[in-house]
Amino acid sequence: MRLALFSVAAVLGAATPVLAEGDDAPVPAPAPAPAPAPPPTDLSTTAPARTAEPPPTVNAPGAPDPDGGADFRPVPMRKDIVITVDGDRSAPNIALLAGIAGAGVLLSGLGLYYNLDSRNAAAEVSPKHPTNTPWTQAQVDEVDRAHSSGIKAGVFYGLGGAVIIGAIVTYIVTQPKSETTVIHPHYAGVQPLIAPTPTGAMVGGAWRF
Amino acid sequence: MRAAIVLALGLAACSPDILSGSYLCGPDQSCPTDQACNGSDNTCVIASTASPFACTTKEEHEPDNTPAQGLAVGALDCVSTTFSQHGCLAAGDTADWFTLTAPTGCTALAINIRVTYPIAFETVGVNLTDPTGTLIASDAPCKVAGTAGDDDRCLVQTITPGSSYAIQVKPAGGGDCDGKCNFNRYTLAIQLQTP
Repeated sequence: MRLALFSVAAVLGAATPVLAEGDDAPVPAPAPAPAPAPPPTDLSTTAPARTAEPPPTVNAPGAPDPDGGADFRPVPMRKDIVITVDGDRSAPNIALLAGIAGAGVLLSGLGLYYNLDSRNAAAEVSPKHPTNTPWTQAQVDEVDRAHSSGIKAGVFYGLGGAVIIGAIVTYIVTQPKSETTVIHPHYAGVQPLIAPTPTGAMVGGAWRF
Repeated sequence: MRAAIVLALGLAACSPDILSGSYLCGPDQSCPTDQACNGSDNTCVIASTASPFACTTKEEHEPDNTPAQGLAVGALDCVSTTFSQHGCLAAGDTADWFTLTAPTGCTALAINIRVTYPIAFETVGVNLTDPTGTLIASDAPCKVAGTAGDDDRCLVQTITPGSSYAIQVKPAGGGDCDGKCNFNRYTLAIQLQTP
């Protein structure tokens, strides 16, 4: 980026409008004055031509500096500015991760279903008090169901957990790379600009950062 | 955190935890794994504490293996109360006999016999015979089921007032664990009624 700032724009010796370099508009002829204007004797009393900013203060020669010679420029930054921009995941990548994670959740859900079924079947045949009922094939079937569902629960828990871990690994592996930009702040030397104008001169500065 | 632990323990409890004595023995002395049928009360208990089946002296009425040796039921009215008798068929016992004489003066008379026995051991049947052992009627499934853990057979037969009869309780041959539990205890109930 290149910025040209005109920190100081002063027109020396005239109150006529000042055009920047390259302007094609003609310079209006000075209107006849009813009386000859007194010659400028002090630049500080001359009003700026096209600015509402207060005129720069010019100390009288030999007067002491009211700021005591202080440097009001900002302290130069000694640390680099590091900007890290994380990369965005692509839609297929998000869909892949969602699919794997969803499959893991689904398998784990099946494991939970069989876990609960196994627990219910086990509770059916695990009374806390004597039932005064015989041990029949119905109870044997419940025990078999508890055992079978328990095995299924273990299998589906294992599969679901493995798939979820796979989803996490995939998430980490497919993490988009981030872009890091380092800015080394420094003050460039000011390029003074001095442009003559028809009625005086314009002083400015330009620098790069 | 506590709820998560409780949930985890709850989910982990998938194996049956069957306390000793929770169930009566099933057919052929079936019981949960690691349990065995206790012979004295036909309940499923921890295998190491199970006792073998044995008939008690109160249950045995030997010798009663013929109609002539049968245990007399006693006098019954035309419409009687229920006569109940506990008995036991030990391994190798072919039959237990009971005798009765029908009361006189009844216009019509029927005998209602019911034998109830645990399903854990060999099944039991009942026959009605004359005093010589000639078969008059055999048992059939009861119209009203008995209590859980027990099985029963019933016999309803019109009889002649004043006549003598014999009742045979015998092993029926089923549910004997392939000969390993060919015994059982039973309860015999006899009631006279108007048909």
